[in-house]
Amino acid sequence: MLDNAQYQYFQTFGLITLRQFFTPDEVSTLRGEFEKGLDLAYEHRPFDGSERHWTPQMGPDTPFYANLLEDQRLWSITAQLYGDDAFAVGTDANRYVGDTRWHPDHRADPTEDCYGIKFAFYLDPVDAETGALRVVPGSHKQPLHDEIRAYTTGRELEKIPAYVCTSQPGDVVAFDVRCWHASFGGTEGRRMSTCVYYKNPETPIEEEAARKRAEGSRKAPAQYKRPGDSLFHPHWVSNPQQHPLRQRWIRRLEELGFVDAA
Amino acid sequence: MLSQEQYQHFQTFGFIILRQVFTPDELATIDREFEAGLNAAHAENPFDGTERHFAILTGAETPFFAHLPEDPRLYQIAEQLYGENCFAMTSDANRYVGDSRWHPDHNIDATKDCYGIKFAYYLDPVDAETGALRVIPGSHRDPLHSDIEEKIKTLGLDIRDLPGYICTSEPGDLVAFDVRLWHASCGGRTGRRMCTVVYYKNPSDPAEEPGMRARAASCIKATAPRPFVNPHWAANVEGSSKRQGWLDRLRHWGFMETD
Repeated sequence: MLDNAQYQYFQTFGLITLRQFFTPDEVSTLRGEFEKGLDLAYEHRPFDGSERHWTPQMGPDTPFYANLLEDQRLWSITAQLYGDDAFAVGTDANRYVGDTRWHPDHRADPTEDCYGIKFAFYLDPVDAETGALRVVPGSHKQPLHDEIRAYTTGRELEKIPAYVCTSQPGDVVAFDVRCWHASFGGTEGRRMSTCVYYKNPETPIEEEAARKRAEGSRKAPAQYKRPGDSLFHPHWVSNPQQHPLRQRWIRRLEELGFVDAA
Repeated sequence: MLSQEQYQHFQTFGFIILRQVFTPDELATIDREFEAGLNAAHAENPFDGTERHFAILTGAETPFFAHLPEDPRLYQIAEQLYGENCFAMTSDANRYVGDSRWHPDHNIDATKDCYGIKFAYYLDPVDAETGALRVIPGSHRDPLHSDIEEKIKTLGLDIRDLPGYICTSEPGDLVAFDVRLWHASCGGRTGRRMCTVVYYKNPSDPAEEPGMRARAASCIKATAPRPFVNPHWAANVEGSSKRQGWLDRLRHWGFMETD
């Protein structure tokens, strides 16, 4: 859970850095599973620095990652900020190439897109010059969100004024997926993972927007050169430990089209 | 004048950094007048690092500072952003002590306070660790401005812990920002030198007039018993029509009354 000051901070700025969230042992496990998961996913095209590698980490080969979404430290914050009926949509691993230009992950209008929270954690130290996340604070809300869209449209801009989220291994940067963000100067192959949860859509129009998002998300494995893979690993969807929270998420994911109905 | 991109940057984020506006010769003049102006203003309590020194430098002894509001490099930007009838209200010098906590200069509610643009320029290089201006981009507008206002006490954070953008600056640079923007600075050395030129938007609605008059009253109080508008500047000996327009508005809104 966030304390009151952290909660207010997140609501105001749309982000918060949680220092040393993971223990050194957990960081070590994350690193091991990060390498294993990505190596397995890209056995057919090993990383050579020419393209970003991305994979969900929800299979039996990466058990720490696969169970991370149910970790109370993450879930309690999500439920506090986006409601008890929010649902998990994935945990992943990324090996980046080059800069990430300015973008929000989701649109600000809930009738056009769903929204939620992304917990990002870097497995190496990052700062302003080495690929740290840059976020425009408060840009998860209107009118700033759309004003930035208008300002950036048609321009290749690096110098948008933002807050630099410096991070050490073990830190977690949590941000609303509607925030404008970017990163510059990172090393090739820099390692970043995320856990993402969406707010449950409240109206039929919002549900429709979430379905549209689901449709796009399901294309991600193919976009990342793994056309045969599914967005959610069947092992995770089988919920072998019959975790009730996961079961509820799966039901909602099926309803919205993120996962094929059983 | 700002380019279209710069204009949109300012409107979106509430500030812009203009690099190397002043020439080395101008900086030498500014440096000289800064020292002479502040030393004269504080002749009875020379700077010893215990309190901030501030002086409006629009008198005959500091002609560069006094004429700076009429420099087209500044007033054209102010007019572009705040309308042709905006008006200059100060050109000043500051020697700071300690940190400046997060604050906006003006209230966001235009019925309670006027607003406008501040051009700030530092006479020494400043960065994150040495007193550079930190701003929350976009906080000149609501809801972000009022969200911060409501919550800043609850947050109870160190200056560095608020997610600000750091306006690193070299001598010659200008940082122009809307006076409603949340800003701060920390880590600056005692006696760090910063100057500003400020223009206010002329009220465009009768509802905004009380806010402007209230601001005028507080300005007068701040410099009393000395007049807020320097008599030499107000005399407008060179007959500048630009300055005369500003003087007319300053008089109209009450900046030239006595406390």
